[in-house]
Amino acid sequence: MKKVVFFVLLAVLALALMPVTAQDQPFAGQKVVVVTQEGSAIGGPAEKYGAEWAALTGAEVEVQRFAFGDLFPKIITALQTGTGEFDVMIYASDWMGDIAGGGYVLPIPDSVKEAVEWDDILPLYRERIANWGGVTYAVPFDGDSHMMYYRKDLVNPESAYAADFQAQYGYPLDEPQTWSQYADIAEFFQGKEVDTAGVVAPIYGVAEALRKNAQSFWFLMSRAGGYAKVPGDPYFFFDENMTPLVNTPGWVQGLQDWIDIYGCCAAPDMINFDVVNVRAVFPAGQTVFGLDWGDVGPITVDPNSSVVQGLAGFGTLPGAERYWDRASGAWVDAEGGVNKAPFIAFGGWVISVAADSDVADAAFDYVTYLSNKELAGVLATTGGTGVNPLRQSQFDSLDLWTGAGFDEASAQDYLDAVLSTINDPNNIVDLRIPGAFEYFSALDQGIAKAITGELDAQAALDEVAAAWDAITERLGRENQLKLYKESLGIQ
Amino acid sequence: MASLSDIKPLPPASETGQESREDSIFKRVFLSPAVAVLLVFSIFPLLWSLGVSVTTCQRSASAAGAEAPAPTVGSVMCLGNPADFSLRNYERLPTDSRLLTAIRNTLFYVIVGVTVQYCIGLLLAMLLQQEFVGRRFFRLVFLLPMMLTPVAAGYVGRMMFDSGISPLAQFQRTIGTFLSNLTGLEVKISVPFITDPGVAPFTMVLIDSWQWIPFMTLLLLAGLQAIPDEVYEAARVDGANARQLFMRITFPILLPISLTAILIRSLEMFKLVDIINVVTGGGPGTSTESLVMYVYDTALSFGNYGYAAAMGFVLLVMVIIFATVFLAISRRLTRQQLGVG
Repeated sequence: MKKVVFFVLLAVLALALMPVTAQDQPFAGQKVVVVTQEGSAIGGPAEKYGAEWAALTGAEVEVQRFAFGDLFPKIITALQTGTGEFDVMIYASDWMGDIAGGGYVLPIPDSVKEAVEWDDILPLYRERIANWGGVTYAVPFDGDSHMMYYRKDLVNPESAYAADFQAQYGYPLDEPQTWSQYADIAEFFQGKEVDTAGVVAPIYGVAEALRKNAQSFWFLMSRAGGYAKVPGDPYFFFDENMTPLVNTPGWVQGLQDWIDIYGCCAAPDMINFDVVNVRAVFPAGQTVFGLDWGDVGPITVDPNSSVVQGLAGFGTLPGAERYWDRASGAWVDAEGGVNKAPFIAFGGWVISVAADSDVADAAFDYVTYLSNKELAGVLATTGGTGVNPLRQSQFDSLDLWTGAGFDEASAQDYLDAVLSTINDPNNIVDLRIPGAFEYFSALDQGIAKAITGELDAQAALDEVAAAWDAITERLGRENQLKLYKESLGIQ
Repeated sequence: MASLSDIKPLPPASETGQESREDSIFKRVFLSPAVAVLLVFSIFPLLWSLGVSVTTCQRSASAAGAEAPAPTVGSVMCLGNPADFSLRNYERLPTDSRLLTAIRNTLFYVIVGVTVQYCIGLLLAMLLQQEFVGRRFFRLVFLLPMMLTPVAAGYVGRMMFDSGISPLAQFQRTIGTFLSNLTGLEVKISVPFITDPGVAPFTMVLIDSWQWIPFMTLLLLAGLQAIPDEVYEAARVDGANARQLFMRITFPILLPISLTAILIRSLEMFKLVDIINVVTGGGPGTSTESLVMYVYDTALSFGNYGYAAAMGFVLLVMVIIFATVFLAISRRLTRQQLGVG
C-alpha cells in the first residue's frame, strides 16, 4: 500500500512539474538553424549567445558560418531552391532587395519589436534599413557606417611634426577634412620613424580594404561620396532613369585618389587587405590612417589587440573641396569649403526569420534574445564582435564606453564621429536593390583593374557603368528603378 | 606442367551460346543501379544545364512579396522564375572581356602548372627511387601537402608569400641586409609574390604545385619501381651512360603513366578555384581569376544561371578539345617510343 501511495504521489508531482518545465523551456525539442558569417565578428555573438538562449529555452541552436564572400550565395540558393535549410539569417542589409524583396522572410511581429525596445533603435536603422516595401522584415543587429581612424598623437597642431608639415604643405597639421589633406598627411608620414608606445619604427600612411572579392567597392563609394554626392540630390548610384552615375567625374576622382594614395603611401600588401587586416594593422600602430566601419574603435582600446590605446582619433570620412554637379555638368566649389557625404556603408547586419521556417516562434525568440537592448550595448562596446552602435541609449551613456576601456574624451570623439555620420543630411545610404551583389562585384572588378593599371580610372568606371547597365537591363529596368527610388525614400 | 601462358580466358557466354534469357535479365538488373546513377548524376545535370544555357534563367528581381509571374507561351519555369528561350547567353560569350581573361588565366594554370608539377615530380620520384638513409621518411614527408584541403594549402601559401610578415619576406630582408653590408650599397630584395599582377599567377602555380607535386611523384615513383633492374643492368653492360639510360629506358617506360598523370592533373587544373579564392580573391586586377571562379560568381552570387551554364559549356568544350588533342599526341608519342606504325 505504501508503495502505491508513493508512486501516486510521484506521478502527481511529475504532472505538477510538467507545466513548469514546459513554461521554462518553451522550445524544448525544437532546433533553430542560424546562418551568418564566419569569424568572431557577428558569427561569434550569434553562436555564444545562441548557446545561452538554447540553455534557457530548451531549444537547440545550430549556427552555420560561411566566409563573407560565400554567405550571400549560400543564403539565396537555399531560399530560392526552397530547401528550408535556415530558420534565422543574419545578413547584410544590402541584400534585403533579394531576400525580403523575394518574399523569403517573415515580417517582424509587433511583439518582437516591443521586446527589443524598437524605439531605442535609431530611426535610420529601424525605419529605413530594416524595411522593404514599407514592411519591417528584419531586426537591425548592427549599426554600420564608414569612418576614419587616425593617430591623434601624430596628427594634431601640437604634434612634434606640426611645424615640418606646415612648412611643407602650407597649412596646419590636424584631423583631415578633405581627401587631399588625408593624402598629404599620409604622404608626409610615409616611412617616417615614429614613436608608438615606446617603440620607434617606420610608419605607413594608410590601411584600407583594397582586396578583390572583399569590401573594396564600399570604400570607393566612401571615397567618391564627397566628389559625387550633390547636396540635396538623393541620387548617387543611378539617376532618375536608372542610368549609372558610377563613371561621372566625381566617382572617377574618388578612384583616382585611391590609385594615387595606393602608389605612394599604402601599408605593405594593402592590395590584399580586407577589413580584417585593417582591424589588425591600424591598432598595431603600423599606419597613420585606417578606414573602416566602427569596429576599429573598440579594438583600439583593447590591450590585447592594440598598441595605440588613447592614441587613436576618430573622425567622419573626409569630404571634397568641390563636387561634380550632374545637372550642370560642371565641378562646383563646396559651400563652406568642404562637401562631406558620409557613407552608411553596408547599412549593418540585420536578422530575419525565413518564411519557410518550421520553428518560426522559436526563431523569433532567438532574434529577440540576440537583439535585446542590454546585449546590444555589450556587443557594441566589445572589440571584435562586429557590432557597432545603433541605439540611442548607446549614444546617451558614456559610462557604457568608459566601462569598456575608452577614456572619456575618446569615447565622446568616437560617438560623435558615428552620430555625425548617421545624422548628416548629405549622407549616402547603400545600394539596396535586387542584384546589389552583382552591381558591387562589377565595381570590384573595375577597381581591381584600375588599381593595377590594367585600365585608367575613367576607362575602368566606364566598363563598370556598362556592366551596371547590362545588369539593370537584364533584371528589368522599370522594376529596378522603382525599387531604387523606393530605397531612397522617393515615391 | 602447364605454364601461366597456357591459361586462356573463358570465351564470352554469348559466343558459346550459353547465355540464357535469365542471365540476360540478371545482367541488366545488376547493371541498372550503375546506369541509373550515371543518368541521374551525370547525364541529367548535363542535359539540364544545356537547357538552362539557352534560356534567360536568372534570379528574379521581384518586389516584396510579389507573386512570380506565370510563364507565358514559349517560356519555361526555371528555379521558380519564368524564363524565355534565348541565345543571348551564347551571344554574350565572345564579347565578355572578363570571361576571356578568365580563360587566359585558366590556360596559363593548366600549361605552366602541369609542366612545373610534372618536371619537379619526376625529379623527386627519381630522387626517392635512390637508396639513401631516411628514404622512407622523406617519401612520407613529401606526400604531406597532398593530404591538406586546398583551402588550407591556400592559407599556408598566403602566409608564406605575404610581403610583410612571412618567413620568405624575412629571408629576403636578411639577404638584402647581407648584400648591403657586403657592397656598401642599399640593397632591398622584395618579390611582390601576391601583389603584382605579373607575378601573382606564378605564385598561384607555385602554391598549387606545392600541394600537387606529391601526386605526380607518387604515380611516377610507382612507375619507376615497376621497371626491372635487369633492364638497366643490360643497358649498362652495353655501355649506356646515365643520360642514355634516362632517355632510352626510364622516360619511354614511364611515358604511359606520365601521360595519365599529366591528363589527370590538367583536368584538375581547369577547375582551380580554392587556392586563388583564399590567396588573392582573383586579383591583383584580374590577373588570377579562373574560369570556374567566374562561373561560380555568375551562378550563385549574381543568380544569372543561364549565362553561368553557357560558360560551363565553354569550359566543357575547352576540356574536351584539350583532352582530345592531348590523347592524340599521347598515342603518337607512345607509338613512336614503341616503334609502331
